[in-house]
Amino acid sequence: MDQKSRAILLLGSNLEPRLSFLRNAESMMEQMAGRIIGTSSVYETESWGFYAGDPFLNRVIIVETSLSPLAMLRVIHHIEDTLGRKRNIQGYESRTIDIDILFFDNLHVVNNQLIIPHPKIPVRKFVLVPLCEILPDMLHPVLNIKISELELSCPDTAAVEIFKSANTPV
Amino acid sequence: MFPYRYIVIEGNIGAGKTTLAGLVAARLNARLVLERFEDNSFLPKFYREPDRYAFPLEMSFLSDRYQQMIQEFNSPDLFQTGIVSDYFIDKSLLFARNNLAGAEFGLFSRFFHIIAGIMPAPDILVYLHAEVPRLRSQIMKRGRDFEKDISDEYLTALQKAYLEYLKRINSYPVLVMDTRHIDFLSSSDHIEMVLDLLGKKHQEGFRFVSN
Repeated sequence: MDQKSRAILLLGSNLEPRLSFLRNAESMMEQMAGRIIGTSSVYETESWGFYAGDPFLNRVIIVETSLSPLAMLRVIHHIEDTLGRKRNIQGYESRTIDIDILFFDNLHVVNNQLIIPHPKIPVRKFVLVPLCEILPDMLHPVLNIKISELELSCPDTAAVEIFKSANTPV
Repeated sequence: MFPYRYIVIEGNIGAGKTTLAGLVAARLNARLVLERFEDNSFLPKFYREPDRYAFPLEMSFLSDRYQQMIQEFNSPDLFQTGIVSDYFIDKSLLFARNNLAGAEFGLFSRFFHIIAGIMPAPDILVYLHAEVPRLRSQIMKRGRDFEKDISDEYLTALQKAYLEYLKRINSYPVLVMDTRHIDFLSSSDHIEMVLDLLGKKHQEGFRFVSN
């Protein structure tokens, strides 16, 4: 058997049923990309500022996969397209599930489709808080700083809290 | 309200089960229960010596599916929200019939019925029928390593096995859909048509639906 990679992903949804979108995305991920070997709690982030909308639910998952980063991106788009569409009068509209690749092993990838590690990691509390829950000692492969240290120095002031009603095993 | 709480989308390898199941689940706000592919240590052995390893392979698939379903179906809220799944437990019997001979199939079948007897049966099953060349191109497109070596003959045999099996089901409706002109992801009309079908009461048993 060939060597598997470890992809660390962030799932997010801010349209009801938010939890169901996260769960169903996880289910599709296991079917299409590989086994989920770790998950953070589900967190709720109040949205704020100009883009204020409904609060997001987020969760970090670790997927063991034999896919390449680009193949993983295609799987992600497929899942977003499949689950992330709600009907309105005109047809399909907003996305209800977002999936970002945060890390992929220790790879550095920069091209027009993909940047790994995800460039927003150090400045987003809703990424760092769940990440820190499960991988506090992981070194960011580009910055060479521990996740727990990044979390402490993150400038983002958004309130990221464990979403209590969600955190039974799915 | 939809009359069916436990909907199964089935089809041959590459027929588009998972995509349709995902779309339907999203639209019905139902829980999506998909088959997980565990690493199966018998699979590489089976490819080298099929006669010797078919039985343990099929038994291990059956026990994996049983374990997954028990886990999934134990969520308390599950049957309230509805379930859309891309497989049913009978799949194990159907594949075993294709891969096992005589006495081995008999033994497998006895185990299967012990297990299937305690599993919930679907309220409705939609079978996606696709021709072998189309299955092949889907399989190539998704590029799963363990599916590369699947032959056209195998796909044809499975096709036959599915239809023969489904024809005999008479305890819930089985809708067979020809997918030649269907692309669920690029046309919302196609998914509307499926939702429309799932919103109606159907008689138990096997029937073709037109699109």
